[in-house]
Amino acid sequence: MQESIIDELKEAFRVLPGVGQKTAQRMVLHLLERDRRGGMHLGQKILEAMERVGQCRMCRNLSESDICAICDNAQRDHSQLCVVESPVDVIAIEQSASYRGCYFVLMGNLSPIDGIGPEELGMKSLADRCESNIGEVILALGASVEGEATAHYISELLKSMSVKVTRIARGIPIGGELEYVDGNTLALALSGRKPL
Amino acid sequence: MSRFNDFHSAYVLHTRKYRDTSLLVELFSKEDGRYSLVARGARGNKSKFNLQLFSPLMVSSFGKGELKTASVIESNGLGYHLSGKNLFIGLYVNELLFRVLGKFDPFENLFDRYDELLGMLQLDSFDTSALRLFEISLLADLGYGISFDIESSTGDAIVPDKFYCYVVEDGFRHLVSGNDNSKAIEGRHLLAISQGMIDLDGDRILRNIVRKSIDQLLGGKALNSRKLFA
Repeated sequence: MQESIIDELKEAFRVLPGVGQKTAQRMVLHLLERDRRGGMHLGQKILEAMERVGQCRMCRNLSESDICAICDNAQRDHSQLCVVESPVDVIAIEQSASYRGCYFVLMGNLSPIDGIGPEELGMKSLADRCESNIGEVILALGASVEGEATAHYISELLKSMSVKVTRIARGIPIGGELEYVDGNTLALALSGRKPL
Repeated sequence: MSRFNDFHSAYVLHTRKYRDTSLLVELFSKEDGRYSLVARGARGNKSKFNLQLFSPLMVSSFGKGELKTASVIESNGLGYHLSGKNLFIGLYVNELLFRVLGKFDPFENLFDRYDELLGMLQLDSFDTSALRLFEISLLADLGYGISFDIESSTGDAIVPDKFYCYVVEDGFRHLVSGNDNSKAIEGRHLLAISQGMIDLDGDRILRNIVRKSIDQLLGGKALNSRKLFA
């Protein structure tokens, strides 16, 4: 039997994270029964975004234009480059309003078993980028073994260049109590202590 | 196969995001070899699972199919902190085990040797000959053992000043005109390796031999972690 368009739409909604069969059905019925205009708008915007959003040529972040708004902003410090794993990290750092430099988005971490190597993470374009006017590369990667491996790879890659490579500090969260912090984090916090 | 709801010693070889808050975990356990399990809620803030690579764990799981579900995962001692190039070696060994071990095939001795290797990788003074010995013993466990002191076609003992070449799944064959062949290996190096003495030349020879054997084992599909050393 041929699938109806309603079934096809339900199936299509399931590409979204956290959307199972029931949720997909609820979404489809809501749009068809109560919000046809909203549905048309959603469909149109999804199409537009899928067609227009690509990656910034400079930082590899998601962008509608060849160069994203951050890389194109002359007010930002173009001598600082913060290396992050994914676009969501850029959003998090931007929300902290504590950084005025530029970014480089790896779109992942080194993970040999998943087939993600230096090439997939754009290491060559990172090295090329660091050849021009970059004074400091800040590694803001996850505190996992893969994050550690990625950080080591980048520091080795940039060793021969006159660029300072730093890494964000790790330790106790604001408002956190020592007794609830795990042993590894506490050890890192102790080894990375600062004079007052 | 042992009962899965018992506690097993295990290491995590790899984790992958699964659904919204869970992880799909590839484990190497002492009692049951390599297998996969789902750790529900492992990515949440309040996760009860500690799933770092290179950390000894005690794992109990349930489920009838091939894919188990974790019930308890506890730390079983301090994890090994690998850094720099040794971390890449650790990732290479994990990928190697992940790719060559069949599911639910127990290798208790191999598990102990893996644990020992991680302990050595933690040291800055790590000697790569330990990695070579691990690789050779892994190949032997999988039925690809290599005799370093016997010529494979005749069964004669390897002679120190003669030249040999390595043939995968066969062994070392005598080369009549050895010194002008780039694949030629001098017998004395092979005899040293057979006695567990691995110098720089031995390390290079073993690296090539192991690479050939592993490539054959994986049907010519290269290990991704080798790109980290390029």
